[in-house]
Amino acid sequence: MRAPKPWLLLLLLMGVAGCASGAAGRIPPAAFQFHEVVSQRGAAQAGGWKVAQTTILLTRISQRQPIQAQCDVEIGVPLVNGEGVISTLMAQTEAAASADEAARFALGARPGTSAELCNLFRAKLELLLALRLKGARVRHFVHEGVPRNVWGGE
Amino acid sequence: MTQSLTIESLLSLVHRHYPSGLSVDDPRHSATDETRRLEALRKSAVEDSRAWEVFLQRIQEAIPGAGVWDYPNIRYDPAYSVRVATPDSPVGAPERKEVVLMVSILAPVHLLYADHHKRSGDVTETLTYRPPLPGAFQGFADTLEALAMEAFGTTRLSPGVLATPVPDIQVGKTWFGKVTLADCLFGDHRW
Repeated sequence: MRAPKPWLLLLLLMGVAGCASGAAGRIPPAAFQFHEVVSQRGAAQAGGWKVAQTTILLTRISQRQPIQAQCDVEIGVPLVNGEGVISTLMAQTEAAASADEAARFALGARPGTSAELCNLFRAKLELLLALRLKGARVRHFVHEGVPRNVWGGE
Repeated sequence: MTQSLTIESLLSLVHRHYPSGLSVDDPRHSATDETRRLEALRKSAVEDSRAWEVFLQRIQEAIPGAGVWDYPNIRYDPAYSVRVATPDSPVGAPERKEVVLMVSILAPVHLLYADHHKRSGDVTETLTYRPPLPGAFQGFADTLEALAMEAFGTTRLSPGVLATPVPDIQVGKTWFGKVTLADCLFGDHRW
């Protein structure tokens, strides 16, 4: 796979005469800070849970259909799944790679509202992440008391 | 608990626990009576999960060697969920058979599906089955289902009832127009 240029991975250029649209920025692994909320118990083969809560700003720059949304995203992964231990580094790396791809997909789908954009983004992110980390799931913020991060709003 | 499980009563039940016409990203969503009602039930089930813990223990006693994965679905949706691997499916085996059981806290109902994983090199193919399950899963799933009925007094709804549309509600990441009774009773996440 071709290595992406840092901070430019989400660049989308539409081939429409007189109309360019794009979205720029690569979501870094550090945007996802995981915190354990369910410990791994006993000799269970799989279990436990940790979550990262991040508000991600998605923007499509377009003359015809600009859109911007602040999407609250909670990513949850097991501490151990059927394939082994999911380290925090692994969770962060896979979450970031999946989020990049999901952002490109959601922005390219041209949803009409910011709520639809966030919903598309979360659905695609979960689909991609669960392929990489069995058991992973993505929702809006659910757990209370988890420190939250913001990416893309600066 | 005695509760009517007709489509009409179940639709009425879910409309008391999910606001109509509001997405989860709408700031008004969390303040509705419906959301508050659902969240109070769900949080109570998270805080007091003794019956679920006993049930998990019961599975391990009744099916020695079964791999039990307690999945924290209840932290997101109104249903407990567990994935149970057949005793002949150890971790790392090239072929693995698992049944997922979900138990709703909204109504005395449960849901089952089965995954058959076959690994070849780096590639794992997974086939997912909904009832009626293939013969290779049947006895195992029957045992698991009987344990759930014994522990919670639940029943399995027909596929037709589960697929009943609830078009005015958004659940999880399933958008308006695509939500079913199954999504409302168990959440929309299958794993």
